[in-house]
Amino acid sequence: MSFPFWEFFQGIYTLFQTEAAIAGARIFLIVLGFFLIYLAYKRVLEPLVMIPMGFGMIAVNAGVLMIEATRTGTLFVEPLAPPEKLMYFLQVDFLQPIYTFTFSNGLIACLIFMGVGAITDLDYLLAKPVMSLLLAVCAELGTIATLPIAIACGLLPEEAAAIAIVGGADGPMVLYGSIILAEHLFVPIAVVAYIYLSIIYAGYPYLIKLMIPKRLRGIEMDPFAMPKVSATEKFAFSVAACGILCLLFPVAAPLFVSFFVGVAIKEANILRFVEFLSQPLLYGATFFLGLTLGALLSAEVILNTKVLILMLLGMVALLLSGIGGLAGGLICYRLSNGKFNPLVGIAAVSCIPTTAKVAQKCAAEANSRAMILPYAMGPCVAGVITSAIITGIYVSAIGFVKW
Amino acid sequence: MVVKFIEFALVTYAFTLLIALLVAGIIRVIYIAVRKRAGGGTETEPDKEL
Repeated sequence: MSFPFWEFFQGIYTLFQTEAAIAGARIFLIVLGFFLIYLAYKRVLEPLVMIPMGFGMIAVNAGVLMIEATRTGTLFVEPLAPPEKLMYFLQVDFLQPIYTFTFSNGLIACLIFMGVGAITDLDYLLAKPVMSLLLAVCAELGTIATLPIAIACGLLPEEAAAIAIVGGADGPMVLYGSIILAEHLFVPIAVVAYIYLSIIYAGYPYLIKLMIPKRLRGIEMDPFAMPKVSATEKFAFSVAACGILCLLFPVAAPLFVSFFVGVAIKEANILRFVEFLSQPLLYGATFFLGLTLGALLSAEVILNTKVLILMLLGMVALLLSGIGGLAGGLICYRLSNGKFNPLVGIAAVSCIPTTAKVAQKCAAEANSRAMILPYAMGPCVAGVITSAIITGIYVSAIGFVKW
Repeated sequence: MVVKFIEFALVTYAFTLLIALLVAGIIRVIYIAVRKRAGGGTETEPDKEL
């Protein structure tokens, strides 16, 4: 009797039981997972998302086993589980409850927005609303321009709109938009978006150096000259803006209410809630978001023929948004007679607070006395609002375009 | 077909700008209202540099 030695090590055994392309993709994703964890550990990529995501990728692609005699699978998550089999997967796959109850309805995006709202400072947005929002509109260039580019690449309008939202650089918005617009592409779009949003921290400084001369990058903006805005104003704004934006774009209402309730709680100084939203809720949701996204990135996903095109379009969207934001920053620099640091424009791409930190990092590299972070937070928050507006328009109106 | 979506994208951009200005207007109104209620002047000039 021959002893089925390899069958005991099913992660390895299944590599030889599936097609060569799937086996190759599994090995590639395992290696990529290690690489992402390394880059996140070195702080080249955003560690909060990329470390759990890298672990998820390694585990889901290594931990493949024979579920039935001829079928391979994992014990992680089944994103396309049919409703009649959902209870089975909820009982078997350990991340299935997280996916079913928080991903596929956008709850995790809303939880993150509540936490982001509770740590967001609205001072500069409220003191300089026109400038902040105009910069944010400039930085939506990628969200706008990628839509027709994606259509030209052969995507359906809903799919094109879903990938274009990556240009808004708001992870929760991308999750939300892709679930509603193109559920079948939710997994690749979400993964592409979060990988790129982590790469922003490493990639945008090159774009900045390419577009903005060192002399302008080092312009000093006095942080003590920041206009003072009272908590009452910020609280009143959060309530009014939430009501009006929900009225205008009901489809993005869960995101608006999540963000502004976080802001309102912070400004109302309800300390217990602020602690809860800004720490366990925000970091818990971010951790499970990263882990589940990694677990969703199986070999079958990257072998989807549309993934390569989604990766290219995601990159185009973020690149164009960065260019738009910096162009807006240069316009403000001209209008202010050289007193405005154009790097603040990159913060308008949103991705709170990463792009604001990138702006500060590049300014400090050019001039160690340049402190632009408080100014950069205004356009950064405005970017969330404009991203939500465009997401709302895409979700509500894309179906009405006759083609 | 692409032309249709370029038009749609441009209209979306214009509409976004409009809504953004509306939000900026709301912020400005709240700013003035709260300052007046508090009895203080607007010692900071919003968007002065523009």
